[in-house]
Amino acid sequence: MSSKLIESRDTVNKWMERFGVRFGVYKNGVFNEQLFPFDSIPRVISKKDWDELEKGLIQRVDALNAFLYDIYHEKNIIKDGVVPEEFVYSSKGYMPECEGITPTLNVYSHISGIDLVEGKDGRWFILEDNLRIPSGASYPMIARNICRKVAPETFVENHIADNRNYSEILAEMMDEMNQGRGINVILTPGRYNSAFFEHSYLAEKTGATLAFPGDLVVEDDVCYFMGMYNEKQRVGAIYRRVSDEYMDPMVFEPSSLLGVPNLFQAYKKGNVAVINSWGNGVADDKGIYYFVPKMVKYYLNEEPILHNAPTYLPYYQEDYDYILTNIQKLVIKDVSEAGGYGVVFGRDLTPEKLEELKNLIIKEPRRWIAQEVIDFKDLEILEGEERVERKADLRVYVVSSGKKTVVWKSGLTRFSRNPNSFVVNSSQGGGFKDTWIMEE
Amino acid sequence: MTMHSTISATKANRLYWLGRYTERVYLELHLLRRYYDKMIDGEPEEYKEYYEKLEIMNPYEDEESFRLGYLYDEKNPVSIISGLTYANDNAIVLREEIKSETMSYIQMSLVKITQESKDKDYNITNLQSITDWLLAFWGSIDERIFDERVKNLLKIGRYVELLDILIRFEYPYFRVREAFDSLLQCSKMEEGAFDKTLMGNLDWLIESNVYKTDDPEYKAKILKYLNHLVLV
Repeated sequence: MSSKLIESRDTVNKWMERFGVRFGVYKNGVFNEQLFPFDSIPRVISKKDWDELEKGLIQRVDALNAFLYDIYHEKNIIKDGVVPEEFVYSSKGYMPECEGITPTLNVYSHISGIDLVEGKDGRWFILEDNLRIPSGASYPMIARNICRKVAPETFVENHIADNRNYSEILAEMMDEMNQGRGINVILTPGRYNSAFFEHSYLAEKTGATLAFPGDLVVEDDVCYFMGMYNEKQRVGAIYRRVSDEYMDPMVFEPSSLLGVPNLFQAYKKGNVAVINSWGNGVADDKGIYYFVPKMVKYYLNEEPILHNAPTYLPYYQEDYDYILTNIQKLVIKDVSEAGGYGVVFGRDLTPEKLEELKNLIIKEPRRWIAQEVIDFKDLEILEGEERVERKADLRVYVVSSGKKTVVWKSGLTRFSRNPNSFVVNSSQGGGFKDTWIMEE
Repeated sequence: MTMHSTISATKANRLYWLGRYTERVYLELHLLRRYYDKMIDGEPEEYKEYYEKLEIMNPYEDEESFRLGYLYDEKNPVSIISGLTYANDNAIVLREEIKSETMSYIQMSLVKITQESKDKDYNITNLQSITDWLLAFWGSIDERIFDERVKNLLKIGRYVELLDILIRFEYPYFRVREAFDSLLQCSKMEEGAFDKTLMGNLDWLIESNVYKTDDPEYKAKILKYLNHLVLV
């Protein structure tokens, strides 16, 4: 690996500042935009590892899409006793309004962000599936572009898969979903959303129109983008970056000012594609995660290629007993939280706090899952001029268009800046790296 | 790929104000150099005139605080740092219209002024790069943006701001007329965005035999028409 790139960390970060590569954070009710610190030592994934990951991710996302269709239609997986119905119907992400609706080309999760970690023994584990509005792809997109300018020789010397095609993959999928009905838009909640940089950057790169709340209207079950003279342009596909419950105040949260009144009706009638579809939360629920390998077998009749982290559900008596006995060595996750919140390591708790947590699990077993702490591989980062090791995960983006499921040969490697932390989320102070997929 | 050409009312408004703020900062830096120069010749009170021309209350008691406040006072809406913040607030939501490359000139200017404000240094030569980047911004708009409506809305904002400053600071007639003719040219593509009556009134008021910025009533009228002219 060329040292030129590694020495150029500050230059890359300067370029990112120039292009306004930031994310927003609310702290004590005040909005601040921060740079997302880039570390110039890349994560390197061999071709052999990647080929396996790619197959496994396509398999997993195809199974998740099949599950979503099934849950909102026949529910065979429940009838056949593979997934207990409690896990589906008590999930916060299950939306009864979506019952019987088939989205365009039967695709629910068009953009899936799958979080993985690599164990010290080189095995990869799935940590989480993000099937609602997974963010973060824009950071490795722009970072690679900048790295290639700053240290071109690095990319001559190393045979790294080109990742500059994400916008094309995305645009192609949006066009497929659009079905020629109108324009593609990216719907953002606005400037003060934490991922606004990404919304605007993806709009620029895909050629979609960036729409703000109020720019879209629905008339006679058709969605339109409103021009400055009240002229209307039909919308065929909406890549929305607004949560399910805020997307249509007429059906969901009535106080929402971020959505489009009556959009759900237009979606239901098949007049507009919504990317990702409504109701996906039921499949990326931390409780449902446990069942994803079973879905692979059930829907695809294949052995799952990728493994979950060893997970226990207090719902099952055997797991319940195990969790209560071994809580101090497990990581406990609140299924209703996201973004690294609601994650507790048993070993970090005092005996009193452990007791409190046990009582919470006893009271509401469905709300929690427990996982073995994976001793995942540390990655080197630069702290000042010194190389130190930190925990890191990897988010890989899988794009499904009905015709095919494609894994973007790249990903967002996030690392913790705190030497004792396993939490890598940007909202909690982490940084990111480029992810190199080697071609030979 | 599906093409689009519709500009929402919000975006039109943002484009207009991005044009105005960018031009305002550029002209303010120009005026700053002019007032600094006057102060060299022993006219320390000259800075007060600046606020009189802008018709806003002078918040500074002395030359020193004027020099710093003009550049870095975030609470002063006409400081350079405020102008760049407002320009950036508009640019940041227009990335897909003006492209990251064009937007970067505004970003760099804001980063630069923020860094300079920490040192509290008012050596204006340090700010030359901002002037250069603002000119690069307009060059990039001309060379890199192919959507004529986007360009035009930005330029409408630019010329309205230019006219506002030229009139307030009593520039000679030919400068004002040139700027107004440029605005008239832009208005042809976006007729619906202009108040036609006010445009006609302005056209009449900006004639060589009528132009008289030393008349406060005339000046107030022309500025009022100008600032109500664009309906975005």
